[in-house]
Amino acid sequence: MNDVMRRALDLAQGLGAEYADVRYVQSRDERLTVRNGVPEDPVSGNQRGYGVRVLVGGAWGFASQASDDVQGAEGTVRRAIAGARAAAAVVRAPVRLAPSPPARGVYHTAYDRDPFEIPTSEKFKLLEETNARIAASAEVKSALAMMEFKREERHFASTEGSDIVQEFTDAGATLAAYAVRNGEVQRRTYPNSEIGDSAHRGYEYIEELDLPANGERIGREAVELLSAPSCPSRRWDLIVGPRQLALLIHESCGHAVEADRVMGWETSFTGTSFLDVSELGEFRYGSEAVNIVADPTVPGAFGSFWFDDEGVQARKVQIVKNGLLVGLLTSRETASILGGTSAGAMRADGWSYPPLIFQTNINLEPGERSIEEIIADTEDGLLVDMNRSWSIDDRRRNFRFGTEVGYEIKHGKIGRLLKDCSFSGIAPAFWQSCDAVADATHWHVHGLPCGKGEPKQWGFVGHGCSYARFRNVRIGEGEA
Amino acid sequence: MKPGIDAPAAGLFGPTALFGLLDAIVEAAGADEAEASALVECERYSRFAHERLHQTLDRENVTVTLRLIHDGRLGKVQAQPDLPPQEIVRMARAAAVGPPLPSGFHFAGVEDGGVEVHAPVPPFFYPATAELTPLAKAGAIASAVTLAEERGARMYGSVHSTLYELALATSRGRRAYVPLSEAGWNLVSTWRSLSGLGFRLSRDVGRLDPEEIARESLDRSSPGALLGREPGQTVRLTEDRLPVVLCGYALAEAVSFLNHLGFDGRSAVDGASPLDSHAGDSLGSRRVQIYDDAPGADGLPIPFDQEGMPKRQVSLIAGGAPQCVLHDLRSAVESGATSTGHAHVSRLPFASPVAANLRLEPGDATEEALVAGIAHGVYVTSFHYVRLVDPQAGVITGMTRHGTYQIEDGRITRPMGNVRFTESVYEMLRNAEEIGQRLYAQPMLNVFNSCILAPSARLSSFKFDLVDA
Repeated sequence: MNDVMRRALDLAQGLGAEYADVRYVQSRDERLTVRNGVPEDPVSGNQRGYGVRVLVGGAWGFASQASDDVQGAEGTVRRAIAGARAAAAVVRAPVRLAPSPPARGVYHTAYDRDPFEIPTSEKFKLLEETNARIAASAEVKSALAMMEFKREERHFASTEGSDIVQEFTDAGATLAAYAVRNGEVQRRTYPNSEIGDSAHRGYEYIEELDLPANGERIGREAVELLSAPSCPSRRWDLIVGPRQLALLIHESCGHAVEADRVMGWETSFTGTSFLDVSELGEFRYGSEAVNIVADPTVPGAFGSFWFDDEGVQARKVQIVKNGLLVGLLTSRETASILGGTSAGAMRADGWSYPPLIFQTNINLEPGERSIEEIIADTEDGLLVDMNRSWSIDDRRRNFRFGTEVGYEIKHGKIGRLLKDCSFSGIAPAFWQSCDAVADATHWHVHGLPCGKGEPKQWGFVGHGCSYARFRNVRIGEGEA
Repeated sequence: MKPGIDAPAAGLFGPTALFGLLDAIVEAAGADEAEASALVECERYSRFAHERLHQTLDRENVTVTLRLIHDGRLGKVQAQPDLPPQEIVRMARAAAVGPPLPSGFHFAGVEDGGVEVHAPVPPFFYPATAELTPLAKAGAIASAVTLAEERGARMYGSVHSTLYELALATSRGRRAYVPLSEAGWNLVSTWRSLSGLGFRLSRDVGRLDPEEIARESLDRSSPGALLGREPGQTVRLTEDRLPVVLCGYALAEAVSFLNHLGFDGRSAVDGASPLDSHAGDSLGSRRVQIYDDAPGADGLPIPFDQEGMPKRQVSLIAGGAPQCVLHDLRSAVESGATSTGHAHVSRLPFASPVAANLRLEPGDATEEALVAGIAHGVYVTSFHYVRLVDPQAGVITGMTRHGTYQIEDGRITRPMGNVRFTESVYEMLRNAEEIGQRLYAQPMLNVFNSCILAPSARLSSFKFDLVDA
């Protein structure tokens, strides 16, 4: 622990904090974008600062400042204490923390090629080539290629004796092709919709994505969509591809099992949950085929870490077992209320925001049948993938997703390409209609950003999944 | 960096300190054309869930952004102010490796306003907002919770008081500084299975009455007062197209999607703005007038954008027809126009010119008169998790939230469950047959310093999506 952090913790205790933690975070990032052959303001940045969280009189206070000197840190502590004292004046339910053993250690994510050692010109060259191949067809009116990198060192220390340094190196990319004909616009993206795909990896992750070849493919496919028939509205058996399924898991399960939402603390902003604490172990969230875990220990996955932002060690937590809800994403505070230990889900956006319960890697565990077997076993259905639009209610129950592509399935074989596909449903009923989850062949943890909190923070999460089949789903404006 | 003697409030730095910082960076850029800007943020939030005041946040940050043109290419870097100017310039030059900029692109200059320094006074800065303490917020929250308990309800929400400074200096002689204050109350009450909303946003905390906001929220969630009797059983919607009254909270969110429908110069360059794709089409009833009014007095006014360009009022839709698009410096050069002062400020990855103080002009109808015009329909308070489905047709989907009510014979009669909708923004505007007099405020998703002001409106028809079973 550096001197500034030690002084901050000592001062917090001296000013009456029952508990305090301090996070020093320094980060470096780079984002490069080429759109229609033209660079979008290439951005690189550096940030560093302290975030101090204190518990005084059973109430939280948090303050942050972009400084790394003792004077700045002391001022930050005093502001946090003032906030906590104000909250304590009206608190009716004092905060209690579930126990968590203090920890020490230094950790860093692995990479083969440091993205910050790759010349920017080389990265731009790749983006320009990719952009040109996306736009090979004259009907592709807009082409976008973007890559971004981040290195973040997070140093956490607490009055309970924790002293943890974690360094994360991230890489991610997004490609998009927009084809236009007679006023109609169709989009294809890669590797995962407009939000892309990111991982705790190095530049080798970008190389593995093979951006030029996939850029050419999505440009071609966007044009093909212009000639494809529109998806019919009806009830249909639905196979959801992994990229769309990742977002479905995120919205209808990941957010629904955040304990702060379940307890109503997010009522006024992002909303609550259709789940109730009393239903743990009894609520049928999905079918027997549905097994979901929160697992921040998957190497390289975007939602992985060693310790969360209140010093709780990462661990795999079962959320849904054979369709039954058995676990929630918790913090030390919510775990104390529930009578257990924290699931280790408290994380903050950089140094300047307080930790919240964010999803980690919420993974749908693979089944036993191959996707080929599942398709062969589908008499009349639809396969969709790659999200185009999404919306879900404030209890995470009523959803509608649009996808970039759909493929008809007839007599166990993939058929026509369909455009403008969408499906909707009620989360638990939908997951209860899941009768097949594909094996691990195409299983991948998709990394994506997640917005939560006031003021809004970005969390970095992952969703491991493959294909899954759902029976009798409402497609488009089909029968409700 | 230390605050200057002209710092407007604790946590802020003032023009002397900020210009000192920015001038040094511009000077370090040497012969490169340069634009250095600083955004100072002091965000102070108190969030609560009835008996728990679970978050008291006091966040301070300064972000320095340098854009420079080096060998005809743009380099941009964001850093904190303690980094030496030479290092910031080195990083920006290292980033200037993309394709050449369009010819004629320049940062703001003397001709765009020269030196413009705003004092910490209305309409941009209100000292009362800066002086709101965590203790005062906690006290007001406790009062709102007590008010809810008197109604047998629960109260959730947040209050924030945020201060910003935006300062900019360019090598072409533009220097601009403005301090900004912002205050907001978001109060959501729940009563049985119903919820209600009271929301306000203003530069001046003195214009926000927490008790009035709490009462509005409670009136919407526990509608005994609204109905004059117990609300009775929640009814389920069974018809997918009905006349509605969209409260201004809901309509504001719908109008905010104009930012995603191509009313920007970059879409215009691509031939994809509504001026091209909807030329000759009706995009709203003749009553509908929508414009971005950043220099106006309401909402969250701001005098210049992130590029230092003066904000102009820009009409987007008037008399049912698309009018103009928004420009930043780049889109202006690419389309042979001039910047309207709409350089994007947000945390979104893909930048484009954006409206940040949208206004749908109010009419003269009272809320009661809007409802009275419907024989059989629905009142919708607000929307939730609205997303774009079809940018060409302007179709969005989302859920109703915080008070959805049945209207029978010109009166609100019973609460309904929240319902999904999938409808075109343009269709909503075309169907607006009567417009209310009160303006409601809402923030925009992912846009800094943003506000949409919209009145309630009676729509002759609105498309619901009967997913629930």
